[in-house]
Amino acid sequence: MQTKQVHLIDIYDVMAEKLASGGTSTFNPHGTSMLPMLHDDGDKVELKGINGKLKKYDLPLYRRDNGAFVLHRVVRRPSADGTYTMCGDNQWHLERGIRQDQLVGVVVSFYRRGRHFSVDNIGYKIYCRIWVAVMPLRHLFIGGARRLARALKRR
Amino acid sequence: MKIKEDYLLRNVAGSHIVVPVGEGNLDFSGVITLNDVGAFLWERLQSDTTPEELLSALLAEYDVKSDVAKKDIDDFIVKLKGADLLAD
Repeated sequence: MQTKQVHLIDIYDVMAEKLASGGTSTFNPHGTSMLPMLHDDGDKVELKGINGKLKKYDLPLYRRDNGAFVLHRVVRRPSADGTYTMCGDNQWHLERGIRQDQLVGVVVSFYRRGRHFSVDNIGYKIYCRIWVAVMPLRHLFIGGARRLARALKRR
Repeated sequence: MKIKEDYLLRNVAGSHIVVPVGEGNLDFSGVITLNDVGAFLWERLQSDTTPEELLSALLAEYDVKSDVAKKDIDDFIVKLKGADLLAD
């Protein structure tokens, strides 16, 4: 008997069933694309099912056509064709054309460094708006920070 | 002796996993994985049962010596208690 983290692909059916029945599902997101909000060392997100259209700043889990699961933020209002534009908080390349049928669920709360936050938290709302607003400049300071880290490592 | 009710045993991708279920939430952030024997015992522990009944069921299902099966059951129960998964 062991405890472990599981891959989304393995639990997708169970998760989708739970979300469809009105419940929520919690899991550990992996990767660095949602830094500084989410870390890849135990932070968790709680998803609910999606009824209707997402709004700008929402944070959905969606599935790319290649099968990959992605947790990235809606950074534009839905396009005229109803698709969404997504971007990770630690990225600046936009991913356009995400369809409604690719959406799995949307984050309603998250645990960051053990602290629980609702997406209705005012601090979180301010963070989303500022972080999306500075998106065009992200590559400057994220790229700069990465170059600085590499330079420090070389020393 | 019985497993607490707020856990769900599922088979996904050939593995037996136990997921905590709380107030309509499935928490995949720390699922428990079980081998075949663990899953077999877990299923029986979803109803009130005794170590003796578990031993009888295990011996009826698997080709295993009684003392080995008894030790497996005892070890499993110790782990369940350690993880606070038993209702009593």
